[in-house]
Amino acid sequence: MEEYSQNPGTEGVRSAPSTKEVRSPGESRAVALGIAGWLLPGLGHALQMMWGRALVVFLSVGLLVLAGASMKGNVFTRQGNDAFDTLGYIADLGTGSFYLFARAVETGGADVSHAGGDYGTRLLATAGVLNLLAALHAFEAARGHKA
Amino acid sequence: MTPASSLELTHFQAFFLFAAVISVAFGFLGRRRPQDRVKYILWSLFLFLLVGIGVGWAMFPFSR
Repeated sequence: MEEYSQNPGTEGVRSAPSTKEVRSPGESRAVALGIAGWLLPGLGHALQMMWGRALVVFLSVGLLVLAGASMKGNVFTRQGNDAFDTLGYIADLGTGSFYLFARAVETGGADVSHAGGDYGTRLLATAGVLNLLAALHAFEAARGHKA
Repeated sequence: MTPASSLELTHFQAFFLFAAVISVAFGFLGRRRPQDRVKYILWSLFLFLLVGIGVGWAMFPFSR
């Protein structure tokens, strides 16, 4: 039977990888800021005193959501019929709390029989993806990466 | 909340709204100095419009 050394590093026997990674406080803070930025557009930047970026993200996402919902774009729900509906739902959820705002604005339901409604659907999805990008940016900035 | 009146935009207005908002957001997220931001926003907006209108014209022969 093969014997293993007490010091695996010197005998070429690899030590088992650690199953638990310890997350530093800075990393946890970065994750929290990213989630905050997702939940309320611009909050992740505002908490880092990046006021200009926070304001622009808030207004950009808000304007796109307001325009998309006002144009009777499709605000997707969990009950999607196919994969595209699910993707649309994920994109719409990217707006965080503004998803509820879109639902509140669009009380009359979607109307994608006209080009305007179709554009509205795209604007809503764009708002979600833009907010996810901004949240990722806030996360990276909190980690100290140049942003 | 009371129902908002339906917003009706032309194709170009909707396209321009999209391009302008995204350009401004990208400019602020991607650049730090105000001068760089303005340059980026204008260049990005120009490219959005150029590509959008270009693709529109490229599809024109197949539209009827």
